[in-house]
Amino acid sequence: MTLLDTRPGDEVTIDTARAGRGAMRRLWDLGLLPGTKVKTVAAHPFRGPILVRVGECTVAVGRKLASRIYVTK
Amino acid sequence: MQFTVALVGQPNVGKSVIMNLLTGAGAVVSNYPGTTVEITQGYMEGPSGRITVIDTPGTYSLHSDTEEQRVAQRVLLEAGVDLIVNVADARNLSRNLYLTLQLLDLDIPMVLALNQMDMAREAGMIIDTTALEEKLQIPAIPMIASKGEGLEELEKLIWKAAGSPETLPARATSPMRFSPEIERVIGMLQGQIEQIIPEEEGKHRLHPSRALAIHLMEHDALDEDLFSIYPELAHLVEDLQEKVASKRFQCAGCFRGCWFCPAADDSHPVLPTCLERTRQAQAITTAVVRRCRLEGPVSTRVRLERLLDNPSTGIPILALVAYLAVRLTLEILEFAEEFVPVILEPVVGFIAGLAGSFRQGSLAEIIITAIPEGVLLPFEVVMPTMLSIYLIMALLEDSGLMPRIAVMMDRIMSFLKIPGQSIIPFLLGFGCRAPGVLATRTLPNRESRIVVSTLLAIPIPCAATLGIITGVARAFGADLRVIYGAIAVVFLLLARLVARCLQADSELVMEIPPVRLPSARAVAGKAWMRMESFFKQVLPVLMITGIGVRVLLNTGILSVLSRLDPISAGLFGITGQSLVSVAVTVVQRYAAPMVLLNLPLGAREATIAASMISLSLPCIPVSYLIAREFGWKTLAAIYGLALGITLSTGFVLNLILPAM
Repeated sequence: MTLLDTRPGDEVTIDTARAGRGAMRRLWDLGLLPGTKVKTVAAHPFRGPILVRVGECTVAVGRKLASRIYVTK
Repeated sequence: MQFTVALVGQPNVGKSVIMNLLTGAGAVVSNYPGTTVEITQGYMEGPSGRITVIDTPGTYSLHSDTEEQRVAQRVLLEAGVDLIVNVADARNLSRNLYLTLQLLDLDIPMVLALNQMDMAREAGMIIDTTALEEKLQIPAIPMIASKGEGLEELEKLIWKAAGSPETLPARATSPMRFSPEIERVIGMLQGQIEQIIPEEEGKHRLHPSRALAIHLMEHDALDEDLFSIYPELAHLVEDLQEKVASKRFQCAGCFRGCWFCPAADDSHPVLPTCLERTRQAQAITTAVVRRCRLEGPVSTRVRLERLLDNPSTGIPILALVAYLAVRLTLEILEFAEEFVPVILEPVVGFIAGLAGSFRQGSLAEIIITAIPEGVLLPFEVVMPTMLSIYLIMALLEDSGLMPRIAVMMDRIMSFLKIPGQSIIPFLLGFGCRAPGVLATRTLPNRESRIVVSTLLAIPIPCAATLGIITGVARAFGADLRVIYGAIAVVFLLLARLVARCLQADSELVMEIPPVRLPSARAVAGKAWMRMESFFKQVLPVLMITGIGVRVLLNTGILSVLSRLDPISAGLFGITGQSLVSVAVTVVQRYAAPMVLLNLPLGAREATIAASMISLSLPCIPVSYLIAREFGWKTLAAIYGLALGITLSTGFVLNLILPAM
């Protein structure tokens, strides 16, 4: 499943991501690396961004990118 | 005493607050040469001399992917930094330590300023600073910069380091050690680097060879900034890539995922060095942080954050905040427009009085009558614009609301392929476009900033433009639907076109910082530092151009355009003199209707002329700001586009509009 399939309140572990180099690095910079546990906080309506909690901080990820971040429960 | 301190840290760690506390009001914000990235430079004054402090742009890592990261790197390598103050957010220790570990590789003496300790405690984290110092082998100072806590200790440490640099801990080895395979590759690259780059004083010019080797593993051959410092490296990289490609080079699998790897593609989720550095940062964090159970009721701050980050409550609140921010800016502008002329009245009156003593029509008289306009324009429009926009931007940024507004608007703005924050510049643009252009500074990259600025410069109607449109419509019975329709069509087409040409990357990944009450001192300090550039750079240029263009108008040089009558009537269905009004908009939008209203126009002519005016060249303040932010080339391109658009709008409307 991907990050896009999670619902608010779900806790998942990131397996891998497929994205362009720039987006990929920004993901790593914010700590969204393989093996990281994240918790989905909110999903904006009308296919807006998804908010996830990584450690003590919140990160917004656009839907397009979220659909390419693979996670397991 | 020559001693330079660089503040380095991730975004939202309170770096600028610490900068402000250290250097006070004398700091100067400027663009780093050749970039649009701002750096702040100031001085610490003390009995034993003066220390230069440079605030680098917030950067999550030292990779060279964004302009901010490259500027942070260049400051560290080129500015002769003697001491790094690494500002870290205690609450996000592990992510912040990633940058710390990268910085340690540079072999520059370093201090860790562990900021926002109060927030960490609020999140139930107890950090053993002594253990952290031992792990990293550098001094660590716990701080709450917003309350000034820990500042004294930091200042003392900096002065001590500046007074006797030999007391700084010599950093022989970074605590970061990679797995044996990776260390073998680093060793091999390090050997090659030491062979081709001459060693000076035990260092490879600016980088230690180990840092360079790691940097090479984490970047492809396109890191041009690095190669401009070390031209020799380009050959090394080319050579390695060629060897790897032709399989003459055995990397034994350890290169997996680094930029030399022939197998390096999307299937490698992460570079091995980055992954191991993250693991190391996590391990250190686990070792020094103790988690305690949170007691007592949930704080107001956390409750507010939950409210804002829940779309059903957050969206209405944030929409209101965005509206109020825009309203407030425009209120300040309106107030200034009434108030400033009153203050400047004696000056303007004096100059106008002078004009009387010259013969009417003489060059001196023309120049002198042009001066009041040149003086008023910067003070009446541009200065209050800049002041209010800087204040409101600082408020929205420091309170943590700006990123939340961006997220809220992301979906809608993604249709235009621009980031969600663009809503702020656009909303401002409906009032006055100059603050809109300045507010693009909150956008994440240069490409999107240019797209948004182009849209602001051409189709977005500011309050003055809207005034012209309604005025003309009332006087001549022009069709408002046609005018607004033309603006909307141009806006949509232009957004798609420019975004495509610049390939603006709209993929959203953004940190949402905690909500907090901004400190008045920090907000005022930020705004004031930026205002200094107004008096030094903006004011003189604006005065001179303002006066210059006014002189051109007063001499009547522009009226030669009336000779264009035949062409103008044929192409656009309007008189050549109406074209003058299009040209006049450059100076001041509200000067255009004066020209237009004095002409005998039919409803059809007025509709076309008003559409052309609303889609024509940006006014002087906006032009100047665009040139300052993005360079004269970008401005020239926008002028070209605007000319093309206004002329083709006239042409197309003349073709399709029936007689009215």
